[in-house]
Amino acid sequence: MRNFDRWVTRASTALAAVAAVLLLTATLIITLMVVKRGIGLQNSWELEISIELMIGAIFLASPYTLSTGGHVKMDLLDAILPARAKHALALVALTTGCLICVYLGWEGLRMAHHAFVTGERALGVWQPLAWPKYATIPIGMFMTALQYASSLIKEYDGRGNSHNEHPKETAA
Amino acid sequence: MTELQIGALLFAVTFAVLFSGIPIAFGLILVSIGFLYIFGDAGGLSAIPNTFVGELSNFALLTIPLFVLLGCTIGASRAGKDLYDSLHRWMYRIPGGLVIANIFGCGVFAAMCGSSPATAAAIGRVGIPEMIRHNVPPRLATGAIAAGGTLGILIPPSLTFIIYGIVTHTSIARLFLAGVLPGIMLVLIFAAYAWASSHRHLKNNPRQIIESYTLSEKMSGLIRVLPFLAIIISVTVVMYGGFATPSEVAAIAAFLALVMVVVVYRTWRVSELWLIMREAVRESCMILMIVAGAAVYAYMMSYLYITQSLAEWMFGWGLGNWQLILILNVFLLIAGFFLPAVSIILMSMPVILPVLVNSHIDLVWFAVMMTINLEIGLIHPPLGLNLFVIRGVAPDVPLRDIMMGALPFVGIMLLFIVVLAVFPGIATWLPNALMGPAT
Repeated sequence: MRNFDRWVTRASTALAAVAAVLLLTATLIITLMVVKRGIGLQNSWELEISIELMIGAIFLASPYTLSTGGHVKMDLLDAILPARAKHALALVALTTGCLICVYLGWEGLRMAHHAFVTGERALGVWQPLAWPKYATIPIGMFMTALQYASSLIKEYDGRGNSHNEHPKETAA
Repeated sequence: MTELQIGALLFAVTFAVLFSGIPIAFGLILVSIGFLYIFGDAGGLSAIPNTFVGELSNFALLTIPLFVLLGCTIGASRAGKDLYDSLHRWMYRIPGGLVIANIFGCGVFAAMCGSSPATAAAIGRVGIPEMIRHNVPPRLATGAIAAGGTLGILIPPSLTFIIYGIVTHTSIARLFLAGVLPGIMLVLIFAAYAWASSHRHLKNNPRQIIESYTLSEKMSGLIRVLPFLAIIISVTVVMYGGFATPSEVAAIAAFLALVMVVVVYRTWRVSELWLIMREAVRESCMILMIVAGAAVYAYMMSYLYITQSLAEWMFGWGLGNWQLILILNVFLLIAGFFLPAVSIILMSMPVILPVLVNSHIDLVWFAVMMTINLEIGLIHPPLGLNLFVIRGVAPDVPLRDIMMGALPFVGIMLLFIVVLAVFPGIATWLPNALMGPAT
């Protein structure tokens, strides 16, 4: 069990590192796009690739975001309920979250497969292949589901800490 | 069941699901699937994946992770400390100057990073211990930082305005400009309150630590902050000069900020950059997942005709604009006690927008009023995020004192909403003057 937990955490962090590289690359590409336009050159591929990179970064960062309590939630009941009810509620919330991620991962896999088979391309000037973007959905969401499974096992064993984070944490 | 009854059931179920502790993004998708399954059809369900991913395929949305990266970069640097130090050295002679320096510091830092918690954490980490050391009452010290931090979502660049602009198709540049004057006015009103409160306190407790600074000491901190201020100025020029879109401006600002922290603060190790980047992807993922989840939720409401029925129902009330504004503000205030600003905008605007448009209410003006309203949620018990951020950076001050310290600022902001309602020009004058009247 401990090995599974460690493996999931490491894989989530590795995917977050890839997401960070994608976001950084998108930043550089858009900066380059503005500079190119400023000196009179035409933009072609920059806009579409930066959107693809952002989408990839969002899905790949999802398991790390979950493991570090970043997915914002309202756990007001957590502060009010007695321990047993809190434990039951946590099990329900974790199971439901896991199922939603499996659903999104499965649908993402179907979209990626369809795009790969049909050679689907994104709309725009450059029209990149759509499947790499869609492929990040099953990777990120199935990994998030595994992260949920890890938290679920810990909660079931009474070692859960999934409800310790601040309930309304947000950028805004 | 009628659409209105389904709508009532939807809101009850949504709150029940979200209160269970499931992340908001996944909770919204769960509720959407459930309602489409029960009240919709297979066609409605099959469109969910494309709606979820399609919402993210929008270049304007790139503004969010890029401004988040800008905020994380500046937040992770020592810019907050330098900014605070230099303002303190210039203002230490004024009664309450230390508190005022902190509030001004929050205003300027908010303009650099666009995030409320980051502003409260960066300025509060240095400012609160210093204020308490200088005999400032802990309630005033923590309340000022908690309230000053909220300015992050009002003073541009503001993530709240970006999301509002995307959802309502309002110009983000116009929204940014609309936040400037109210932001400056709130800074000044907060500072005036701090001055009055400190003046009263000093009368009763005259003990003060005597200190003085030379001109070179005053200038040294300022020089290190100047590059970041230069970023704000260049961003403003590039955006309002029409040279780049908000997403492009965000990328340039984030890139320049990264260069600055490497050059000015020598943050060049991979481990240090990883700290910045991991926060940026984590926060971006959280916000954009909610954006995508809320898109599915809005699609479900529209597919089941709930949005349209609710809007028609609200038209039927025959309310005047003042009554409507009052009701919406009360609703937003209550929602702000429980939900983060991003979620409130994304979940409520599909219903509110047609009502606002039908009532010919200026969307830019409403955005500013809504944002100040949502700022209150950041410092209002029970879930005000900034209160917990302050608790994190000032663990010696009891949470009760932090909450009590924030309450006068809640009152100030509520009064300011009333003033803004009476004088809409406070928000609309600057964008209209610089960009012409909205079409």
